[in-house]
Amino acid sequence: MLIDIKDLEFSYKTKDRGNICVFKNFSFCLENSYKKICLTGPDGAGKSTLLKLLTGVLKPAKGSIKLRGLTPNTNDRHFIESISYMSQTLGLYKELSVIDNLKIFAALKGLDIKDSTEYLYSLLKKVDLLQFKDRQFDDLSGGMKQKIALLCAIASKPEILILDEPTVGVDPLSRKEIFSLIDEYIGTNEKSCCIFSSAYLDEAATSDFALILEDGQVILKGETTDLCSKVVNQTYTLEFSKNEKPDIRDIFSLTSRYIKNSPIIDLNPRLGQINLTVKENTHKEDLIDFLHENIKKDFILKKRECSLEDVYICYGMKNHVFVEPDFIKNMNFQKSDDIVVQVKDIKKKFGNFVAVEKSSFNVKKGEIFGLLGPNGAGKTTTFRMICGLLTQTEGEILVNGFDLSKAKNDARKTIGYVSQKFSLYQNLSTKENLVYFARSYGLKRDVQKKRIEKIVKDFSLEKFLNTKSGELPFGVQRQLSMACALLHHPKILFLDEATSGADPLARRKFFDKVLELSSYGTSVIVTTHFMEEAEYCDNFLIQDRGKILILGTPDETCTKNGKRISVKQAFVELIEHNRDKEDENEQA
Amino acid sequence: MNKLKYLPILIYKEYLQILKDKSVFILSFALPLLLVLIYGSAIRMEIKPVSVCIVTQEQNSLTDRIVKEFLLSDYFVTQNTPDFIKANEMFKDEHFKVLIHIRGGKKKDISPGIEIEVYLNGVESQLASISLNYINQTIKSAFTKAGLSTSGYSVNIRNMFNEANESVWFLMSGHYVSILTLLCMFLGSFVISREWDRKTIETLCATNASATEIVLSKIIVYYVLTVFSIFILLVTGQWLYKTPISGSIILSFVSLFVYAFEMLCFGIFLSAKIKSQFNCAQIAVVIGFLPAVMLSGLIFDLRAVTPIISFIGHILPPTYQVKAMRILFLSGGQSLYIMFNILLQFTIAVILIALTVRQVKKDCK
Repeated sequence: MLIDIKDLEFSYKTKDRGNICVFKNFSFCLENSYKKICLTGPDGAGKSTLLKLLTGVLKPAKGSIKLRGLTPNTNDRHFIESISYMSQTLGLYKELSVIDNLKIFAALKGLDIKDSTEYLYSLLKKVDLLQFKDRQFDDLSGGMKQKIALLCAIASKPEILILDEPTVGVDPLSRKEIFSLIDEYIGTNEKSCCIFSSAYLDEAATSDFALILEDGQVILKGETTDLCSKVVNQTYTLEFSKNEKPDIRDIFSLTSRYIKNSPIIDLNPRLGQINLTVKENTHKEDLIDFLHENIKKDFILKKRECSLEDVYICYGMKNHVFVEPDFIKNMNFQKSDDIVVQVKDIKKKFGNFVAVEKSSFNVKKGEIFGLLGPNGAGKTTTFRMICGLLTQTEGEILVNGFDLSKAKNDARKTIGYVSQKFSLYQNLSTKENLVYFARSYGLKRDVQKKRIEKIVKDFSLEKFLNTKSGELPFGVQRQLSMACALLHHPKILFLDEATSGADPLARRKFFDKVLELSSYGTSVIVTTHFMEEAEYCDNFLIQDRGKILILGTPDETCTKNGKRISVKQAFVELIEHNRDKEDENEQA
Repeated sequence: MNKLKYLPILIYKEYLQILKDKSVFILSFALPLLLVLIYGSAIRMEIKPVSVCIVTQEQNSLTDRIVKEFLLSDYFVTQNTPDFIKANEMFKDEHFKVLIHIRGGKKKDISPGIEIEVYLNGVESQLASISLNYINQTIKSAFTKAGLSTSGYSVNIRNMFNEANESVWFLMSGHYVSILTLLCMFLGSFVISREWDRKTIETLCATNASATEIVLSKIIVYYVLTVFSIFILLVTGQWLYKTPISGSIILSFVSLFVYAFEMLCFGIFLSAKIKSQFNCAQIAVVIGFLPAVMLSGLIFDLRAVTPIISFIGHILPPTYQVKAMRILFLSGGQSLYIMFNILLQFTIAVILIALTVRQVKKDCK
C-alpha cells in the first residue's frame, strides 16, 4: 500500500472558534502502483493538512496513517529519508543564497556535504539556474523560487515527493517547467512517486490518481481517466457565428447558480466559444429549448470531450447553496466608449533596472481588462502604478480623467483594490473590517450601514460577521476582501492575482461577480496566472521583461494559422518566441 | 556522537543567517552600548524610608528630643538602643542603613561637648547622600526645639564600604545584570519564533535534524554572539564608570556568563512557546526589563516593598544575580553564596533547554 489511512481524526486549535475539526473518521487507501497522485478541492478542504499529516509534521489525534508501511514520524530517520516535503510557503531561508539553501537541506537529509556540491550544481544546471546559485533566495522571481524549493526536495533522492501546491502563483511557463522536472524525477527513479496538491485542474489531469476533498471528506476519487467518464454526456460547446456571438455578460446568469431550474451547471468562455456543463440526464433537446428561449441568437450545440475540471464543477456544485440574485438577467450589455484609464508611454525604473518600458493602453467603461505575463514581467509594477501606489518614472496616467501625478487622492476615491494578500486586518472581525473600510472611504453613517448590509448579503458573509478575518477560510477572506474594495462603489476595480490558489468553483463564483459588476459599468482590471480566466476579458495584454508583447481581444491574440488556440498555448508560445529572439539579439 | 550528527550543519546554517541578518548584529553590539550609557547615567533613584538606629549611651532631654524627631519623620524608621557594640554589628549585617551614635553630655546637663557620629552605609551611596541631608535637618530641628544653638554640636560622618561614595558603582553591578537580562532575552526571543513566522520550521522538521539538534545549534550560535555582547558591555561599562571589583574577577565573569546563558535560554524558550516574533519580542522586553530592574532589589530594596512583591522578587533569578554581583563588585567575600548562585542559574538554564526541546518536539517533531 502506498497510502493507508484508517479512522483519521484531526483538529486545529484556534483562539476564536475553539477546535476546528478537519478530519473525522477519514479512511483512505491507495495501491502502490500509482506514481503521481493529485489532491484537489476548495480552500479549507484539508489538502495541506493531509499532506502535513503524511509527512509527520502534524500528528493525528486518532487513527493511523501508513505511508509505504511506515508511520509518518519526523524523528524516524528511515522514514524521513524516504520522503521529501515541500510546503506551500516553500520553507526555505530567504536571506540565504540558493546554493546554501540547497546544501543545508541536502545535508540535513543525510547527504554528504563535501561530495554533494557537484551533484547540486548539476541539478541547478538542469533547470538552467546555475548562474543564480549565489543569488539570495528572496531576490528570485516567483517561478524560480518554486523551482529551487522543488530541487531542495528532490536533492535527497526521496522515494516519495510530497508537494503542497508546487505551482501556486506561478506563470504557465514556469508551471510547465516545474512539472517536467517532477515527471522526469519520478520517471527515472523507479520506486519514486509524487503526491501533490493543486488548484489547477489541468495539472491534476496529468496525474494517475486524483482525490477531491471537501470539508475533510473525499467527495470523489479514482484514476484520472475513469473520473472523466463520470460526466461523459454532460459537456457541450455552444458555437456562434462571428457576428452573432452574444456578450458573456448577457448569458453568464443562465446557470443553475441563478436560475433554479436551469439545466446548465456551468457556462464559461473557452477558445472563443462557450463551454457548457449540464445536469445529469439532461436531454439535448431540452437544453436546446432552454437555450433558444434565453439566447435570441443562432447557435450550434456540439458535444465536447470532458475534462477533469468539468467533473470537479459537477461534483462541487452539488453542495452549492442557491442564492436568489437581485440583478436582472439578460440585461443586454451595451459597450461604452468612455475611456476610464488612459496609460500613455509609462516607464518605471528601479535604480538601473527597467521594470516597465514604454507601455500604453486604454481601459473603457465596463470593460474587463487583463494583464498577463510571467513572474517578474512587470505586471505588478504596471498595476501598482495605475492604482497610484507607485509613481512612474516617465509617462502619464489618467484615471477617470484625473492625472495620477497631480490628483492622486481624487483618482483613488474612484478605485477599489483587491491584492493577492487580501490586505485585511487579521485581528478585526469581518464586520469590523467592513466598517473600517467604509469609514476610511468617508461614507456617511447611514450610507455605511446600508452598503454593509447589502454587501454582506451579496457575498454571503452573514455567517462570518463576528469571526476574526485572520481565522476565516481562505475563500471567505477573498470574498471579504472584494466586499471591502466595493463598499464605496468604485468605478474601477483592480484585482491583483485575487484568484491565486482558488479552486475552479471559487473562481467561477468570483468571475460571476466580476461579470455582474462589469455589466453595471464598473471597469475591472485583473492580473492572473489562470490563463482561462483571460477568456472573460474584453481585452488583455501580455507583458514580458517590461514590454507589452501583444494587446487585443482574446480572439485577436489567440489565433494561429486561422485557428483559435487556447490563451495558455498562445501565452507560452509568445513568451518563448520572444525570449529566444531577445537572447539571440543579445548574443549578436 | 551519532546523536548530534546534524549539529554542525545546523550551526553552519545559523551562522550564515546571522551573517546576512544585520538586525541581529545591531541588537547584540549596539544595544549593550546604548543600554550601558542609559542605565549608567540615567537610573539613579532614592529610597524611603531609611532605617536608622540611634545609640544613646546617656539619656537626657536632648537625646530624647533627637530620637523623637527621628520617630516623627516619615522619612526614617527608627530604632533606639544604648548598646553601641550590638548596634554596630547589626549595622554591618545591614539591618539598617544609618547608625547614629550620640556621645558626650551628662544625664542632666545637656549642653556642651556633645558629639554625634553618623555612619552611612556607603554601598548604596545614592541613598546615603540623600539621607544625609535629612539627618542633618532632623538633628538641627531637635536642637532648635530644645532651645539650643545649633552650633553647640559637631557631626562626624563616616561612609562605610564605599569610600569614594559613587552611586554609579553601587548601581552598575546591578545594571550589568539588568542589561544582560534584557539583551539576552531579546536576542533569544527571535530565534525560534522567526522559523515559525517564516514558516521554515515545517521544512526543517521534515529533515533528519532532531529537536535537540535544532535547539542546541541555535543556543550555541547565539551564545557566541552573547559572549561578544558581554565583552562590549563590560569593557564600555568599566571604561566609563570604572567600577572597582573587590571580589574575584574570574568569579565575576563566570557568574555573568552563566547568567547570560540562562537568560538566552529563557528567551529561546519563550520564542519556541509563543511562535510569533512580534509578540515574543514584546513579552521578552516586558518581563526581561521589569523584574530585573524593579523587583530584583537593584533599585527598590526588597526589604522595603510589600511582602507579596518581595516574595515575587525572591522567586525570580535576577534577584540572586543582583545580590551576587553586588557582593563580587563591592564587598568581595561570601564565595559560597556566589557559587550557589552560579549553580542555581545554571540549573535553571538546563531546565529551560529541556523545556524548549520538549516544546519543539511537541509542535512538529
